[in-house]
Amino acid sequence: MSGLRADMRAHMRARGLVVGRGAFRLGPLELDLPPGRRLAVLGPNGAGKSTLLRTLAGLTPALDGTLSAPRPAALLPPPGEVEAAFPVRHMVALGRIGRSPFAPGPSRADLAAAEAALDRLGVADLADRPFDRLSSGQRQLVLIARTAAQGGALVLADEPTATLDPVHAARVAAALDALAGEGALVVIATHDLALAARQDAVLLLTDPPRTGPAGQILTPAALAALYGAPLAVCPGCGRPHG
Amino acid sequence: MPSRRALLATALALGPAALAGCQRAPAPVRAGGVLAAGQPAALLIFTLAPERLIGWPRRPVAEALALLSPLADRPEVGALASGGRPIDLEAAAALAPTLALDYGDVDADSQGLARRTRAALNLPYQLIDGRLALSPAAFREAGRRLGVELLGEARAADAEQLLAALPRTGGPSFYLARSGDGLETAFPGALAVEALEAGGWSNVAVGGAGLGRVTAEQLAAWDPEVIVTQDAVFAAAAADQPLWCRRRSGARRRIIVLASRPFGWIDGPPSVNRLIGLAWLGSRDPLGPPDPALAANVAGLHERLYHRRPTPEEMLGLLPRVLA
Amino acid sequence: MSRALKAVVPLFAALLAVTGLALGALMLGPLPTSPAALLAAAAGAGDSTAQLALSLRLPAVLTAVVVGAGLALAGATLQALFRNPLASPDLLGVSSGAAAGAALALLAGLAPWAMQGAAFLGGIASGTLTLAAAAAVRSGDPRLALILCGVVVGALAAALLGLALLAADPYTELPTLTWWLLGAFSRATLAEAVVALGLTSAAAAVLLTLGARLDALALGEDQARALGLPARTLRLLALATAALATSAVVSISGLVGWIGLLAPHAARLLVGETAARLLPMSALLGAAVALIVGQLARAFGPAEIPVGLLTALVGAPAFLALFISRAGRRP
Repeated sequence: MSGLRADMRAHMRARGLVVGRGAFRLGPLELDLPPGRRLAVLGPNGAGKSTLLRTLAGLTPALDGTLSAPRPAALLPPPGEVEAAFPVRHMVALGRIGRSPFAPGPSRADLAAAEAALDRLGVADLADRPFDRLSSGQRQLVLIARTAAQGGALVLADEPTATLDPVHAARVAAALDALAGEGALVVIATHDLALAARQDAVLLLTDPPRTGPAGQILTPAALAALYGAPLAVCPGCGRPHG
Repeated sequence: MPSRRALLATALALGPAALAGCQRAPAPVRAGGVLAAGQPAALLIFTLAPERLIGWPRRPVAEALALLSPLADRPEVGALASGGRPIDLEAAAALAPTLALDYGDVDADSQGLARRTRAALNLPYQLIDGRLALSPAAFREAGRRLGVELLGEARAADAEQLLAALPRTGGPSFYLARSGDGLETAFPGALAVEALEAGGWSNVAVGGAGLGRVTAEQLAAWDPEVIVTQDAVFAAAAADQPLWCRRRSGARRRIIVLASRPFGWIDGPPSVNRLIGLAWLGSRDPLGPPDPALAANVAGLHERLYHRRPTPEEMLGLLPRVLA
Repeated sequence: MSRALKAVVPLFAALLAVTGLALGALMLGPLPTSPAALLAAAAGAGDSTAQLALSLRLPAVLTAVVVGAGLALAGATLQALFRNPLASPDLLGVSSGAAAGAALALLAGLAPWAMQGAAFLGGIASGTLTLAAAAAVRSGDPRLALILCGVVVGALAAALLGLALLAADPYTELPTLTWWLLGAFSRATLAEAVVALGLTSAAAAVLLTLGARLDALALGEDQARALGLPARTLRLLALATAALATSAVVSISGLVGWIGLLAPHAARLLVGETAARLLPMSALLGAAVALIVGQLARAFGPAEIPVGLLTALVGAPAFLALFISRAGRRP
């Protein structure tokens, strides 16, 4: 369906992984994720979520430790970071550009795959519109379609629901679930605790970092330790604590 | 993009800095040093009173200095008037001139410069009309101001004789080729062609003023009888290009290459150097190979203008070459 | 597919326009000929005047096409790479370096063809210096590093040029240098124009093959790398190609501004943003503008108006109009 090649399904394994930039360091991390697993990464601002995602994507070298991650890795930046004026179909077709080294543009097959991906995400009607005329939510869905078209074995989403309205936030969350369902490994850095609670596993960027299933790890005490202050609302439903 | 104005501003800003850096220590101030506002004035002063010239607005290159008398070995001081490296008023004052001379266009710009310099430096400033036809009057005026009236009178007589010997009409149609590719020319009335037009030659380049660039096709359309140039680089290339050495009818066209050292025969700068060009234009056959009479005449003028008689070998290099 | 047709129609129309303008330029000039005679001359027959006219007009027309297309291609590429609509071919300091090279060659008393060669080398040298300096700056936004290095190198070259202007003889060399700086399409010989055509065509081939990769690069280096592209290498390739094209055309025409900035914007209005269509359309529009400006330069008397002046006079208001119309269309 999405063109995910079987040989690219692989585990992500990190041993003693230290990431960072300049004087800042995060880790060491131990990770062992099979394909189809969905991991949420939680941490206060400045904890290094973006740096971690970039390192997992292979854009920034790790400072220490070993990392073997599935490739290709698709990076989904926060809403608003990607600006382009070309049509949505072209944007999604660009997901497949890494496949042929000399072809000047998307082939018919690429465009067809792009349309299929847009269709699966329910935004096929946006295909001809310029990317920069879409709302943030629509742009996120288009970028996820691009990820699907890319056939990425590893999807790294940096705060994918930030600033989105609830409807689009839900659609984005569902789209990411669908990608995992097709066998991609999905890592989501987020502040959205409800979104985090839906994932299979959670990584808390405490010192030292803690990993575990969402139900176990997301306790009020753990969150208070993570963000440095007690949480006034229930993470699952948003109701204030008694 | 670096606009032209930015470039010019950079150039002007670097001028005084470069001047300060490169200028040699000025020669000991003679009583009565004269400041030339531009290169044309410098030549006029050099002809009449070389020992009083403080310095050149633009020092002649080594090749030119070799043809001039040792009196020409003056430092480069820059020009008050536009054209060439500028000198500002303070630097000019530091040279302690007793007189300033400008020789060229008498228009609002030069008169304004005269006023400003006179006021700022409390300096006698003489502006002399640089038109070729007024050369005798220019010599007399300059001779008077420089205190060499007899010499001024002698040069004025020379100029009168040369001007009188010019055929007023009947010259060929010509195109003045400037710059390495020859497509830069001077339109009728421009200083660069004043000498040729005074000699009765007719400039084919009509429809413009001053200097300008034209296309090769425009030149072909005008189809001049003769090409005149002072640019050796151009002459070397043009000798075998049909565009230049053949007319539209297919007949050969003469390319006349005039000397540009020590100063041009018809321009570069537009000053007393042009009298040598007048001697050539008034000679028996300016379009033909140079004759001994012209050579003798030119040698004599050289000595009177530049205070040095060229050797016979040098004369050979100075006479016009006619590529036909 | 009607979508593909929609894309091709404007390109085809632009190609027709350029061809028409080029043919028109070949038929206009001071030598008295007729289109029929010129046609005959093109076939090898025809009277000598027509043959002469054709042989003299052809280099100028070819120069205009090559320069216009080359500058527009470079401009479109730089606008994509810098993600900035104000980017123009001058950003890398290439034009200034070419001008400095030409000035130094002039002062050295070299022949005109050597001046073109020196200009080309000067442009390449300054472009290389900019790219090398920017590559050496490891931290921070690579685009900013590139712009700053381009500004610095351009300023250095401009200073060299300024020194040359000072040292030039005001009666002989300075006017020549000034004319060179102000730009002309009539200066290059056929051989020089053909060489520039070869270089620009090679650059165009590289850029058109890069195609959609330029779009990916326009999204930012992180995104491009995440899409599986060797982003640094490709970016460097695109920049170097743009510098090469700019150098080649500036060396035969002098400094001609605004086409590199304007043509891509006009092209964007007609065919949209994707590189595969934007680059060829920019090139065609650039060639068309250059042909028109080349004719205007000769329209007011025998003295040529420098094309660099004309492109500024025409280009600046046109750019403003385009910008306003574009701003009006967006929410």
